[in-house]
Amino acid sequence: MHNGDMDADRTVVIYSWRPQIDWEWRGDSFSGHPVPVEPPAFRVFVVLVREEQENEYDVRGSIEKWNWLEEDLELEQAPIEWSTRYGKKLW
Amino acid sequence: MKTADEIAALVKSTPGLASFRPCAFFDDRLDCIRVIARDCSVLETRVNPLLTVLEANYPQSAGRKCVGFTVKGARHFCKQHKLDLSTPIKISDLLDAMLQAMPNVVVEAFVDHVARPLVREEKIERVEPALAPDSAPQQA
Repeated sequence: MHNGDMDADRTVVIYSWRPQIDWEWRGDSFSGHPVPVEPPAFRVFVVLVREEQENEYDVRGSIEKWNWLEEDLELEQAPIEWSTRYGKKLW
Repeated sequence: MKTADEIAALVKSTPGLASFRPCAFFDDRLDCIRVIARDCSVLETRVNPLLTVLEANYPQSAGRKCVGFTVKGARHFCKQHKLDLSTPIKISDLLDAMLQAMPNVVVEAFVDHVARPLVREEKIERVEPALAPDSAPQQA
């Protein structure tokens, strides 16, 4: 549910892929900096984007969260159990 | 494409930027309770439809691997267990409710041997209610 909408989950699009690089923020928020690291093996990076009405800045969605999941054994670059986690495969 | 330096500058110029602190909160937009002990790159592993465990992809040498967990379907879960999401919830009440809702050895082991020590050591005492509506996430 989002803003009283019980079907809000249907407006979330999942992007997943196997990146060639990962980044870690080292240090605190004020003096730290991002450091490139080798991504973890057999995992995919997943980003949840909520579709929204396009605004004056051409923004059509907001990132809800991102994280790493184990990669599916059959569908490359997809998270494990993708068919039961999410509604349907879009592309 | 922004460079790492540009991204770092962007992050540091964020108004109201504060240091991370271990926390537990109700994520209204995704209807889940998040308990987060460390702000880092994480692997999410689903234990069951309710419980997901967060593990650090690059654990600190002496640190623990589990850095948090998520309870999904928080509204229904809290309603079932008479927990009020509009007010702070004691973390011990949440953990007790998890044991009640998921009575199996895996969840019991996780709650008693991972989650309770984690929240105790990180001094996470309660689940905060949903953030104010103007606490918008990053734009895509």
